[in-house]
Amino acid sequence: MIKRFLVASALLAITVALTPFPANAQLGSGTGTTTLNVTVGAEAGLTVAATSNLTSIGTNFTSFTGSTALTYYIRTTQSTGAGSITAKVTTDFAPVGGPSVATPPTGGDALTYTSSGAVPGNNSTGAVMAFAGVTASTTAQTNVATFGADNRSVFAGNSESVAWTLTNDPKYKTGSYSATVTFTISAT
Amino acid sequence: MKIKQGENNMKKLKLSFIPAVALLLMSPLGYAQGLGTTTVTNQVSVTVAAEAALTVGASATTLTSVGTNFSDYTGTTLLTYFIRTTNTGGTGFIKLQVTTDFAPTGGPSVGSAPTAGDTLSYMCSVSSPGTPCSGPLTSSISTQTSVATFGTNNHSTKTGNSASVLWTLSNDPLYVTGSYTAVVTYTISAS
Repeated sequence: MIKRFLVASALLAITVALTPFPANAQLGSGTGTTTLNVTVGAEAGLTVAATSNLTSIGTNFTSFTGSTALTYYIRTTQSTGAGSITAKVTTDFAPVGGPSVATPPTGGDALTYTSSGAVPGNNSTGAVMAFAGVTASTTAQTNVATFGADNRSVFAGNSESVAWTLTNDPKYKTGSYSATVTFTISAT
Repeated sequence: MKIKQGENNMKKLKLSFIPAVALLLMSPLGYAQGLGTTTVTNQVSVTVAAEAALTVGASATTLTSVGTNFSDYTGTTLLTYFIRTTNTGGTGFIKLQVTTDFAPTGGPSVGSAPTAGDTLSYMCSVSSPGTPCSGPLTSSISTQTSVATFGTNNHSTKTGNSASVLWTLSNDPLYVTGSYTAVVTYTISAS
């Protein structure tokens, strides 16, 4: 009889101990945690400082020159990543009668550039920031800079510049002409 | 002669049992009459004190960036809070702290950001009776920062009231590509 009583008492105690307090289960607790997960992927961005005016020094058909300043932001994937900054003349010089990238009035007239700049601020392995004497095109994107794996710019961005040279052909009619160059940055 | 004496003794014994049994049967009646009534009252007392609890909507909050040009990473953590503050002089709060910094290394960090200005900041949205933090606030691994405050005699509903933390994490190009995780601990208190 006593043995049965003791066994029953023990079972009751265990049941009570294992039963959660209903209020606690319903209303949470004084602290809670959550994990913040973020996946950092390859990204790239750039800004162009301002309109670039090409000018010629003197009056004897020295080529028109000017430069475009860029600020680039890049993060390429570790091991296999790559990236580039390219340029393309997306709108040829207008109005007609002046220089033209697609249909220059004289063979050899060209809009060329030489690029240079700062390597990515953190890990620049594989980065090429300078390309010299590149002829701009209305049909193809041409390299301004290329990047290797795990290249990362600084938070404020790194600088790159494009020094333009436009043939000063006497055939050009006097006047003001404008073209649009589109720079594209990409990262993988 | 002896037999007759024994019969007499048995009779005496039986006679002595009868009053005893009668007394036994009567005693409950006497008890009910003298020691109680048909209705009783009992006082039940409870002390309701200031309390607080919370639940976090999901065990993980994913921060994402829209686009590919270094837009900040954003995400939202939902909370449900339960609170009761003292009716005179009571207060309460919800606070958070980054208890485990982003890992692995090479990516974002709350404790040692790779670039000055890189932060994990947040805005607060808290339903009444809570007052949301005045954000954006920068989270910390060393101190608790406010999510909500409560005043005197504030009460949530029984099913809890809602709050949310809207995260913004700097997207620094310096971060090495990969996945990173941090742990944020929320604390609620009431007095």
